[in-house]
Amino acid sequence: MGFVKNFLLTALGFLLVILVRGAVLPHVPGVIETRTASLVASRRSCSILFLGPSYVGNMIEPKAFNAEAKRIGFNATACKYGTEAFKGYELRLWIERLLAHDWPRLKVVVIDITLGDTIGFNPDNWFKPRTLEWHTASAVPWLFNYYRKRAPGRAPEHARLFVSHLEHVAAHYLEIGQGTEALDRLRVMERLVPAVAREEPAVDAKRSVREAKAKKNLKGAAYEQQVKKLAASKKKRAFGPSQWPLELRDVVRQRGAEAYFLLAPVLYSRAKPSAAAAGPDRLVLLDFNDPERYPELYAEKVRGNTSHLNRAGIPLYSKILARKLYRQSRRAR
Amino acid sequence: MIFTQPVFFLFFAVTFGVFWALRGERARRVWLLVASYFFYGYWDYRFLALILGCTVFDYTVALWLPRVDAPAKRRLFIVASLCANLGVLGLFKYYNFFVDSASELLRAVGLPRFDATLKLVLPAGISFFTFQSMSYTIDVYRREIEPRRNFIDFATFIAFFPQLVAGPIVRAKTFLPQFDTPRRFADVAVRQALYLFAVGYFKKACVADNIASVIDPLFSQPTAFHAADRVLGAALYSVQIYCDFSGYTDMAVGAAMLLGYELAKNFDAPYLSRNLREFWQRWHISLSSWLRDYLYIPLGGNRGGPWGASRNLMITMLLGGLWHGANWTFLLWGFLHGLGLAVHRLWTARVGGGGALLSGSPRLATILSTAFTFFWVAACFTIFRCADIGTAFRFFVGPVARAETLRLAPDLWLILAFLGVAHFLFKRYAQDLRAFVARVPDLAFYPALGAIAATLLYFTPLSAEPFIYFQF
Repeated sequence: MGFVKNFLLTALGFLLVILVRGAVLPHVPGVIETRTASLVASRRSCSILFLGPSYVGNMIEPKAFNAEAKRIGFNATACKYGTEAFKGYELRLWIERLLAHDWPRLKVVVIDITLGDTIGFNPDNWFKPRTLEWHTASAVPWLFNYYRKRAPGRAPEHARLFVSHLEHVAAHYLEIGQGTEALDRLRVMERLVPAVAREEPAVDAKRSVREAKAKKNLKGAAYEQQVKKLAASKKKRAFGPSQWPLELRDVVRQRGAEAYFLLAPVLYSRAKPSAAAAGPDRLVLLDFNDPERYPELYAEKVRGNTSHLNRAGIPLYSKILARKLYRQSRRAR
Repeated sequence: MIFTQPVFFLFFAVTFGVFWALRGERARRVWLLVASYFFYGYWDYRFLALILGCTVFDYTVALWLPRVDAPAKRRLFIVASLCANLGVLGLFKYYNFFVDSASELLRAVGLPRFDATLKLVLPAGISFFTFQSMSYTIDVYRREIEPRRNFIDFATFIAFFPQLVAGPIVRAKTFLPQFDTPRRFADVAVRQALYLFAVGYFKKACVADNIASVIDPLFSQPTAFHAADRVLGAALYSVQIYCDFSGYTDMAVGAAMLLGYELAKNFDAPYLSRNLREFWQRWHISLSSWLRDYLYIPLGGNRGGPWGASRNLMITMLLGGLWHGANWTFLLWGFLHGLGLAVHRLWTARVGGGGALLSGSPRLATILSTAFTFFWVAACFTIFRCADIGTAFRFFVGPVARAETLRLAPDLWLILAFLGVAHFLFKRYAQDLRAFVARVPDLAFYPALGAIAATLLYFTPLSAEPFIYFQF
């Protein structure tokens, strides 16, 4: 009895501090919260929602898309939600979260599936602010189902990953580390941060950064060769699994919109989901991962690096998307 | 599984609940063993075979030892135990280091290099449990203790999770007798245990881990920073390693107390030591006393005069350095401590200690000798922390400043001074604090504990740093 009483007293003190802190200290939204709030605020006018990793976040410009749509007479307004390394199956949770709001004009959700069907829960990113922010109570059942459905042979590994997810959820609600972050925000250690940030990489690190940059920033003949390699591999028409995009489409359709899928104009070869190949209700796939069909997106002058377009390429890609979606909408009619 | 991670709290809550819910002592010990193996296997289940193998081997050796009277045969048994433990340690921890060093040596004299290194993962805490197991068989060999017939007891002694991976190194003669008396929850000093755990958590998560994020860049690129900041970084690392290791120990002692068991004290305000000898009586006490009892004294100890004792000290400290890992920096660290201890011994024998020079002003003598000891210890820890001897060399003799020299925040000097004062005050008022904790009514203690826990979590860095001593 005494044990229970003491436990409850401890919990009371614990909760009191969290409540008082919440009441006294101003709430500072995280990256996800900020992005979500801005998207949700613009949802009333949005008819085409782009969702995906940095290929959406950094390479699609709704302004350029909307301007092109207006020019060609396509009655559409675009909005986007793009986050680094935002991968396939993880998108499902976000579709559910975002579409839980009222979207009066939404017709199409364009989902970038370039990065494939996994979740970006890499140990390198564990306990980073964004990862922590993502792990809310609503993510738990979703994560449970995700691991339950996947490779039963890897159950011990999945169980361990699931425990790590639970740790993230606990850390999220216990506000672990937020004090240090708050001190950062109060600029107590302001002078320290630039000092550390300016740290020069060690000699080996310098070399690997150089090598990675060289690999990412191919120039001249090396770049052309990479494009040719990609074009050749695309001819082999590799198909990948399509169950998960079909699931994503079902979720979108349940909310009264249509789902299209996107393979971004990256310089490495991505497999198409097989359900995009044939059938009466095949997946609509906008495949830009093909230098022969979209040579303008693979011209060296519009490339920032192997994966991304530069400032010149972004509006170009957005305009092509507008035209492509216009054609698709007319076909659908 | 690190003590500061949420998964540990979940694990401990289950272990604690089931442990006290079980009625019989035997069932509790079996449960403790299962929990300890789960804790260890959580890192990598393959390591379980290793710890189980070491346990079975030493258990068997110790059982056989009393049945053998012939000294030669007894020696054979104990040598077998030592070879098995040191062999495991040598293979996992030192094999690649020695092979690599030999290969480098061949290259240096113009002969072709060879690569016979193995891809081995170092099992967590291997140095701790092998030393613990060795001390048991040595004590049985010396007839200081009787072998434990109950395998579960012995296996639990080796694998007891609070101290399994980073000590304190527990002696069989102090720990195993605790299994002979039934544990009662009413006897557990719950408040002291929770207080210790909270203090340990504060040291580890709020101090050590926050310092780590500040000084890690400095140790990876020492010459990019101003010389004054390198001095600051060296002092901060001394604080970090102390808070990391002693914080871990406090949590280990607190967790063991909650299960009704006592662990040995491992730290006693080491940075208030007035000389290196005192430092080693206050720092990692379980290792230094282990080295004293099983290495320094068998080597001859203080016999052989000041020079003989100095030689024994040097050998002990060199091996103590090597115990930390296969790196020349650890050897140099051990050498410098051995040198410091030997010089102190010779100096004391001739002059009568540092205080003798300032006999008229004992307080000043204490301050100066404490500062000098800290300076030496911090310099040694700097070498200990650097990735290799080259980096350590650059740390000490790098340029004072460069055109693009980086600076640490000057606020850190204030933080260092604050931590120094806290170290002093905590030692001075530790007894009073413990008495206060015991005296406060439940209605104040437990809500305060909850409030402190919420505040500690708030200032815990997002990524939990592994304990520094896990790698040893």
